[in-house]
Amino acid sequence: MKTNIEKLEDKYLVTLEGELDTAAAAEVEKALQPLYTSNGLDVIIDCENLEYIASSGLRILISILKGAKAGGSKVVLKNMNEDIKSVFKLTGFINIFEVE
Amino acid sequence: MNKLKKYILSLRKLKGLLIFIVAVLMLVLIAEVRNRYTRNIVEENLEKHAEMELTLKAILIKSTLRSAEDVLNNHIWHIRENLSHPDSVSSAVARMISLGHNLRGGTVAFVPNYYPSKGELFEPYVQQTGDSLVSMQIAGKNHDYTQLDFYKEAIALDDAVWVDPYVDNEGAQEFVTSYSRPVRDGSGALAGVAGIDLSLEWLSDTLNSRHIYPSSFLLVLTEGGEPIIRPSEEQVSREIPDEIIRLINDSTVARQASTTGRSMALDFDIKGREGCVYYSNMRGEPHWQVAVVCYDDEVYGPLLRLRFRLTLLSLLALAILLFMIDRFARNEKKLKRKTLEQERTRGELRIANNIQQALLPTTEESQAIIEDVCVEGRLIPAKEVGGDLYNAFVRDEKLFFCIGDVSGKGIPSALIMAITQALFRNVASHESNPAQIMKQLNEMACRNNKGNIFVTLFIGVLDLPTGHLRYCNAGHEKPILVDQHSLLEVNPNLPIGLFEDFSYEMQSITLKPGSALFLYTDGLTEARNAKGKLLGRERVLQWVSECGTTDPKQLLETVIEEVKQFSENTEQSDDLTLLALRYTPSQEQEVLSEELILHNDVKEVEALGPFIKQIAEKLGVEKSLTSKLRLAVEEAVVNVMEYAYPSGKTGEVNIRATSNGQKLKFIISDSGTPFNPTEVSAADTTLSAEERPVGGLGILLVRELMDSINYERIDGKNVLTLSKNYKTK
Repeated sequence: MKTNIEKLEDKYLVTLEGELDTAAAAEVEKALQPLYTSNGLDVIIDCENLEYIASSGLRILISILKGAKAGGSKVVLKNMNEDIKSVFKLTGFINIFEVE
Repeated sequence: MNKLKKYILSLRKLKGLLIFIVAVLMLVLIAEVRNRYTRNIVEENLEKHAEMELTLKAILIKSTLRSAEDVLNNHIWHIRENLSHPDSVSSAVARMISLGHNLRGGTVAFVPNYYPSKGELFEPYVQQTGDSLVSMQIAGKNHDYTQLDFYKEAIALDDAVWVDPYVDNEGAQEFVTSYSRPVRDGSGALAGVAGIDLSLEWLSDTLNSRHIYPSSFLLVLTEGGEPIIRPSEEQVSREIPDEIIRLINDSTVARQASTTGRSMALDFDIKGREGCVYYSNMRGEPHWQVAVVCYDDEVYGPLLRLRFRLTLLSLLALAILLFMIDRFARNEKKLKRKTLEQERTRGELRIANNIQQALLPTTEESQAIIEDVCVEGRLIPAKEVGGDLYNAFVRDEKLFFCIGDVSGKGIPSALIMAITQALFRNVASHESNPAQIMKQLNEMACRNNKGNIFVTLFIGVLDLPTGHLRYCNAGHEKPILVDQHSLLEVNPNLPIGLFEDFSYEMQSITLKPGSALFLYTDGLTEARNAKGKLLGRERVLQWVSECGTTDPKQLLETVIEEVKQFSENTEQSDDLTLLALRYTPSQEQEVLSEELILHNDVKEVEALGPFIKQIAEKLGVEKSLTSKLRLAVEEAVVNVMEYAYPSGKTGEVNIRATSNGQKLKFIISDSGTPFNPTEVSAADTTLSAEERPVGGLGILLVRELMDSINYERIDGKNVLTLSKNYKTK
């Protein structure tokens, strides 16, 4: 599981690659820690190469979303594959994140 | 519609009025007929009375006159003997007069110059006043008897004669009538006329002494209509007799009466007082008329009084009738209102029954729910709504079923039934332990149980993969194990709704494939036949055992038919509820069986990806489903690791995958503390980001991704089974 964070002037660009399963969750959580307080910057997450996500991964995303909302910014998920999107649909996350 | 109603209402009111009017008319008619009839009777009686009165008075008058005649006729010889001595004539007359006390006087009026010594006119007269007799000679210038009727008529007729009454100023000195006859001396020459005066006052007193009616009075008239006898002025004021005499004299009827001798009647109205006078002519000399006067008020007085009393009675009867009609009308109204209310209640009960039937599982739900079990239930209420209940539904590869009986009948029981029914479904949707379900239902039933209504209930949870039946009884009838011809071993416990802290025990048994269970309420065992004999549990056991089938539908139909025959046409006294289920697990041919053992460390879930991929490849599962299977299994396993094993405690999680070529099953077992993930409530997907709790996502995903999940605690292990049919989309 690979994660990459790029901080621009007005936003974070995040890339998630591989399988975000429960085993990987702890590590990813640590890596994405800075995003929990995004200080008003939008968070753009590219999911093009994200192959799998478990509920522990979803919990990380919701923590980021709560932080962003508190700062008045948004979280955008880009390029999700159909499997991931169906998980978002099942959990209702499709309604609370901005999905492109 | 409204107009019609009003019209009918007014008709109803009119009905009472009509009865009243008819009653009034009938009473009036009866009164009229009665009045006429009684009046006729009274009139007839009066006529007879009057006739009799007239006859009697005539006889009295005649006998008086006859006795007076006799006095004169019998003493005429004595007078004749004394003719030769003019002065002794008076003593002969005196002797004669003294014989009749009603005679006022007697006389002999000699033809002029009969005794030359006595002058031209000579009439010795003897007057009787009480007992004393006074003799006098009354002839003179002022009293020329030769001009008087008694003298003239007797001589003219040369026979005895009654003279019309007159006031005799000289002799009797009162109102008298005289009887006179000629007197001849020894040589046959006419000597004079002998006469007697009869006191009419005396006669009047005698005749008027008694009458048919108090105010009635008698009149005696001469042939010419002159009054002979009339009531004294003290008795009747003068003008009334005068008027009646005038009426009689004017009436042609009276004249006819006087000639025919028949009694006649004549109505009069004098000074507003009405009455009737009856006449008849006395037969023989003198030709007097006798009349009796009767007043209507006295004749018909009693009749009027009777009429008055009867009218009062009739009015009273009418008042009573009116009161009764009013009462009847009110009662009828009350009855109508009651009937309406009853109809409405019946209507409401029918609606309640529909609602209640809707609460029961639908035919589709209760029949052949899934391939592993077949269920059939039936509720036949005694009244429109009953207090019986049953339910059966499948969740997480378990059949949850119950049967119960609320104490009492009717609407209160039906309400409790509905509540219990709903609660069972609610609680069993997240709780799988029947004793726990019972406990919760009991607590809720005890809360605010003011009516002290209790419910006997049997709850069963059949694990479909294993046939493991866990059950809890709350004072309900023991179910029958159909294929074993015996009753299920059951702790009675207490019905729910009595003691909030009662602890209900769970019991369990494993059903063999093909075995069946038959449950019922006491409406079955306590059904009665026409003789009042109870059906009894033994008979039920016998029927069920001997019916030769374990098919729930056939079983119920057989029992219902038997009950009908037993009770014949006796009215069903209690709700009758039957529930039957047969356990028929599908016999599966395993085409795959793989196993993976993990320690309770989330790091190890990495191994799940390759494990599931390998299985999916073997079975030819498409990629997107494989990913879903992996996610479901991972979530379930993580759940077990987190909850079944407290932190720091090590243990294993065993994942076994099996397939029959159609369905893929993951059986996840662990030796941790009992934990049933199916009872964890899934996350609410409709909440916003801020409101989303951290937990519940895992179980939500498992439920959504798999066809079914099933938890069982078997031999000290948590066993969670996830199933998915991978052949259909």
